[in-house]
Amino acid sequence: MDENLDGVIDKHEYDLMYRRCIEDDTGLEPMDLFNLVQFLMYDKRGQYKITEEDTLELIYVRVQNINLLEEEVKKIFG
Amino acid sequence: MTDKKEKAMLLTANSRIENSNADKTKSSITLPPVQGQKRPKNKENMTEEERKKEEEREMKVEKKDLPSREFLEKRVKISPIERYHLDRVFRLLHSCRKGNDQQSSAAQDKNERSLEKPDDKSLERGKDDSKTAKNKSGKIKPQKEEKESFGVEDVMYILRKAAQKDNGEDGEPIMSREEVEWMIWVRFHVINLGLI
Repeated sequence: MDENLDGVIDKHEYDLMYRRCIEDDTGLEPMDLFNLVQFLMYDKRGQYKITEEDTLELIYVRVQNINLLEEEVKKIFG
Repeated sequence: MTDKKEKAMLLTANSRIENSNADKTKSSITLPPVQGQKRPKNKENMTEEERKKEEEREMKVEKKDLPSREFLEKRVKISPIERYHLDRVFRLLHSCRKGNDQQSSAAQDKNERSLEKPDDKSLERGKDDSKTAKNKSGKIKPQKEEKESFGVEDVMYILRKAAQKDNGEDGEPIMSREEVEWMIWVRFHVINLGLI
């Protein structure tokens, strides 16, 4: 995240964090900020609440597979 | 004849004792290799070929665990719609600093208006638009954006807002300030302490 230790996260660090977390399949990557960013990405209306419908578009773009889409939605909403 | 034999026997006995003492000191310094495993050689004792192989193996491990920046930038694609929402969230977090009261829905609307929403065609996978995010006038966004950033206070502000929406004025953020600090600094610590 804050790789240059300037106390803030700039656009480049933010971008790298997102790419790292997408690519990570080891489970070692710190994911807290990624999860927060994901939530805010899904929350398109700024309500601080998300529905399954809100998440579908973005998840589908990433996984491009209906089965995986369902899996990902299940991971979030149970 | 017998003297010579005795001398010879004494000499061999002494040398055996010396050898066994030498073995003891040796074994007390280094552990013997586990059966079936080769003890790794020091790099200094390796031949050129072995050293190259070892370096290649180390590089592979490093690449697998920690993808480089270049790898992430070139290989990991972000689709235009993801980029749009990613930028929207970044601006949302960044705008918190300008004054918390400004983070109203009007400010958010303004933020969204300045970004061009991608059309349906851009939902195709593998399209990376990191370099092509444009504003409404069609011009590529200025480099000034690179200087935009957000910090612990901005994240805390968002979390407090979310908690208030959920539980009214008394709503407690789901993460404490310390946790948010850790969240932002963690990668630096983890990488630099060599924990992964």
